[in-house]
Amino acid sequence: MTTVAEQAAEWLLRLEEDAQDPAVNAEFQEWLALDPAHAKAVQLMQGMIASLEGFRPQSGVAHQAIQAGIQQDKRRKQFKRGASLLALLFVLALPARLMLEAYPLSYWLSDIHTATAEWQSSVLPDQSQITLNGHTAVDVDFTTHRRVLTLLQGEILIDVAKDASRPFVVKTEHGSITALGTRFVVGRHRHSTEVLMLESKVNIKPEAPSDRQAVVKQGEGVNVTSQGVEGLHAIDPDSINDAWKLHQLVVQSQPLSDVLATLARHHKGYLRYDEAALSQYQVSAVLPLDEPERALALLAESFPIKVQQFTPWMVSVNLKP
Amino acid sequence: MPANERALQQTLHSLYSEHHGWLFSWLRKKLGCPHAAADLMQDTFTRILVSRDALLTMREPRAYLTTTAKHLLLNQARRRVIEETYLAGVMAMGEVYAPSAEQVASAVEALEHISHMLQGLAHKPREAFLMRYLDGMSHAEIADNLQVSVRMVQKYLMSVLVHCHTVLGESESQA
Repeated sequence: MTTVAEQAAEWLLRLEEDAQDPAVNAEFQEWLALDPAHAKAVQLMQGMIASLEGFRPQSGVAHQAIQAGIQQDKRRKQFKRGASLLALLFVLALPARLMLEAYPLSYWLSDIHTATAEWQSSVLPDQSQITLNGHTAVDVDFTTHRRVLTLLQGEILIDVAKDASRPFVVKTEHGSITALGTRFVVGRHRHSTEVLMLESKVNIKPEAPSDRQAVVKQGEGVNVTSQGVEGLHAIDPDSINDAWKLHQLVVQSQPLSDVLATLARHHKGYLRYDEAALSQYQVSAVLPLDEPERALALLAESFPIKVQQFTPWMVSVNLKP
Repeated sequence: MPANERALQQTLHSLYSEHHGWLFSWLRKKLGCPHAAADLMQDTFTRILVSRDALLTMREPRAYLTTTAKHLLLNQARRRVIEETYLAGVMAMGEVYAPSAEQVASAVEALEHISHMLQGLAHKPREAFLMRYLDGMSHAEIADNLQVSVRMVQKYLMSVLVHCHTVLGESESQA
């Protein structure tokens, strides 16, 4: 008979190899549902793993510091101690997403980034203002000739300071957005980059080789994908301005899976969902980003989905059978 | 239960009123700073309050108080070593990474926690764990590096995860 801790450890190691296998995942879910102690054990271990993974970009420094701590302890071996309550709380507060979804290196190396459920407004060196919502990462590259922001992940609201001699460009893997005016939102999704114009206009040059550039004006929104600029639609700049002020998510005909991806950036913990199955539903809604649980409950009222919570840190969203 | 709770409160109260003056002067002598001594005294009593069993079975209050205070002093010493090492490392990285004071504090806290968790483990399991999750190496790469089989690496990782569960589970039940 193996202990709960041993079973949990075994599962974590197995998932490292077979995370993509739906059968293994289903079996894991079954095991989790058997006993609340199972999810708790997984949670404790994941906290430690996430904590270590968080140090990856500075792994050399972390190695030295951990080693120094262990040496210090060895010197004073006679005094053993329990982990301090504070340290425990810190680990529990860490986003305990599965290790498979570790923050990518680019996130930790980026110039500005926000954690899950964190909002941050900053003034850039040129006095432009930038607001990042949850789990967003941006690189800033300003020279005397141009101002370039690279949006690595997440979503930003930009208020560009006028400087005719230095164009202001936001880049993603899908294209380059050059500000011809002032205030706009850029959101990076997995397969596309969304641009919403709140004031004035921008020029978009997609990465797609054959595609023409496009000018997007105030009150318009587009998606830039590997196919080019598409999905031109009208937006309401006032409600989007409010949304950024009130930490709301305003979506117009977006796939449910994209909406869940955004909620996941604001949910402290692991939010799992079936991307393929849920992408068939289109969502138009205003959702409270600071309360992802409530947002999920609201979605469950309108869509045939089942929201299951295993621990406060593990939520799964599935289609109702 | 409430009667038990009252008894605890009373024990703590008498412990505090009878010994806090003495503990304070002992700490001040050790630390040479009244503010640090006052902080640490507060921590000492908080810690005793958290570990309730100790409070009920305590035989020699002064010995217990000094032991607890020494623990905390050691934690501080370890924290300082980790903080210094971490900051020196970050500075050596240059301008690539310039964390805020808050980020440094939480990084040090996390490193302290990790180093505590790994404390007492044998060298190879510990290295395997760090290689896997801190360096992101594959099981095969770790096996190669430590000159053991892949199966052994998995055994190491499992044992450290179980150990981690035990350590964290303990501190949680104390809370």
